[in-house]
Amino acid sequence: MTESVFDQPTPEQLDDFVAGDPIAIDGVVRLLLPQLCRWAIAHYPNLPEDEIRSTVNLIFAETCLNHARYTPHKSKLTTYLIWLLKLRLADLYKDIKSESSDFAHHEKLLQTPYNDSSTIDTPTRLTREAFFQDMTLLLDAHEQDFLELMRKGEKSLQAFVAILVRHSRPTSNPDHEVKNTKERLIRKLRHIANEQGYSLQDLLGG
Amino acid sequence: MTTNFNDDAILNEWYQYAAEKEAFVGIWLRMLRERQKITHEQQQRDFGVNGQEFIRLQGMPLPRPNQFTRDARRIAEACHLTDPSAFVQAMLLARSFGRNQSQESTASQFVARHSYQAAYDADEDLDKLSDENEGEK
Repeated sequence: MTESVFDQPTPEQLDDFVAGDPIAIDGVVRLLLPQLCRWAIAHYPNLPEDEIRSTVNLIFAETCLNHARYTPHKSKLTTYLIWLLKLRLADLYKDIKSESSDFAHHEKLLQTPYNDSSTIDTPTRLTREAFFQDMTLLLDAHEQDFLELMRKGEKSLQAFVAILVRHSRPTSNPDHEVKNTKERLIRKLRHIANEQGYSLQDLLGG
Repeated sequence: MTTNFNDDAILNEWYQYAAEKEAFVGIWLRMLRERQKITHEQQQRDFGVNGQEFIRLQGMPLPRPNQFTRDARRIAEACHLTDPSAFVQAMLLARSFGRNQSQESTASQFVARHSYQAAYDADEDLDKLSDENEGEK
């Protein structure tokens, strides 16, 4: 294996990582996650930084969960993680490219199920409610609160900033953080709707 | 391009993210809070841990099943809990709740599956059932 630009875990740490030792896993995450975050942000300047951080977190969570799949003698852990990261970021890039045009449209539609429920038939309404109820299990806590407010038609920036503050999320640029969180939420909704065989457009009533 | 986030902020965000995911301590502690009807703050006080370390604790991987108590204690020590035993007890309790929940869920899935089957199997299919089973042998 070639020399790496990243600080690497010790062989003992890696053996314990593969064995699922929680302290070793935490130690490896603490060592590698900030380094890979910086690397990814520097290598993908066209992608939103918070999306990159979120994707890095996702691949670390998957790798921690499936720790036994990594084989230390085949590749460095950083090489393995970067390979996973590149696949995810390529998907993210495609998603962003195809979705950026209709974000405003979907944000508007998201308010429909609450505000206009009298005009839709019962099976459709039940499907929508079941979908949004299931969604809450798959979203992070601050995203659940965002979804609730968005479905109620809340427009005030302050209301969304309050959610970010309550969940200790970054608020140095509130406008940007709120917009990005909404975009990420809609992207997640679409992805999960597609996986369940629905079109987000249908669920939102457009 | 560099991030405005420093290492601490990146790790803090990671622990909050991991706490919501399968295979991390946060999910179990949340289940306990809901079962015991206690707040986040009460649980934090019970373990004797500051806010920052409590966030880290929730983002720690779960103890391994084959050395559950030992791992739980090591996690408690790594996160500087003043009462590691309270955390170990909490994890043992959460594990037993999880087992019961899993048994209940398996039982209800079994009942639902068989009720569905009984309601929709046609009579002729039921008559053929023993022949089909023999054919598989």
